Amino acid sequence: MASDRLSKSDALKRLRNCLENGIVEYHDHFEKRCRERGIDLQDAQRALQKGIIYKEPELNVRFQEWRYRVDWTTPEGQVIALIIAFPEEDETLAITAIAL
Amino acid sequence: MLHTQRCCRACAGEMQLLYKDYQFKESGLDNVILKNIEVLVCKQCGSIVPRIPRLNDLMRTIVVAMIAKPSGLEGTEVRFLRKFMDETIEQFARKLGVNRSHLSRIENGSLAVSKQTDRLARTLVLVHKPELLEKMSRLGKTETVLKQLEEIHPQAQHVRIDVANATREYNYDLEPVAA
Repeated sequence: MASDRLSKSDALKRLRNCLENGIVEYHDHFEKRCRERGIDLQDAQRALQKGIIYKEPELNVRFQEWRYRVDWTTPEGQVIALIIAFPEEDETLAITAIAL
Repeated sequence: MLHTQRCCRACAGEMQLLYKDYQFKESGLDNVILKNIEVLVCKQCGSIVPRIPRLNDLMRTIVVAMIAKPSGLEGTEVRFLRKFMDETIEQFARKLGVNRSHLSRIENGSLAVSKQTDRLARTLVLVHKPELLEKMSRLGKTETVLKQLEEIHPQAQHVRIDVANATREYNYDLEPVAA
């Protein structure tokens, strides 16, 4: 069964709470994808801390989990998006990063 | 501690929870080692997923460690501090009293960080992010860090920053990287 589908604002609250009091996991390919796509790793991390969820979540059928897109524009003007999921209430998994 | 069994997002294999030291490249630095943190390792494909508790607090610890670094800052560390402040090169260069291309060359390592730029960069972060002062106080490092500013070894040195994760309270340690 799929994990709960959160509203955009609830997902953002959960993300912020994970950063402050919970756990953040980085997928094994996260760093590699960032480098491939010209995304500075520190910018990717700032996106977790400062980004906004504008889009509705999408269900990943294979892993039966809702995935959320966190968008952020770096101070230098690069627009990036991170794909995240919540394996647990207090845990965020950063799956990949995309340069938009 | 994991509440549920986790599967690998690369191959769907079963993941095993281990405790390991982890090079925290996701911080944006290549010299930060998280000591003894939870790591999920896929039994099938070997993928590694670090589990990082209280990431915001960890980042503050790393910045404090950077400010307290006993030797001169490297260019990548100046960039790290600038990005922590969410400043563009132009904005930070103006604060440092240098031009954009000068700062850019410092950050990419083609120019050495001057003593003045080094101290000003450290101090600017403290001024802009007052939560760092609280963090320094919680670590019991306030006096040490301020004293350190007087005694920074002029030569930039690549050091390893170890962040201990015992009882989810972070400490930091600075060790020279072995040649």
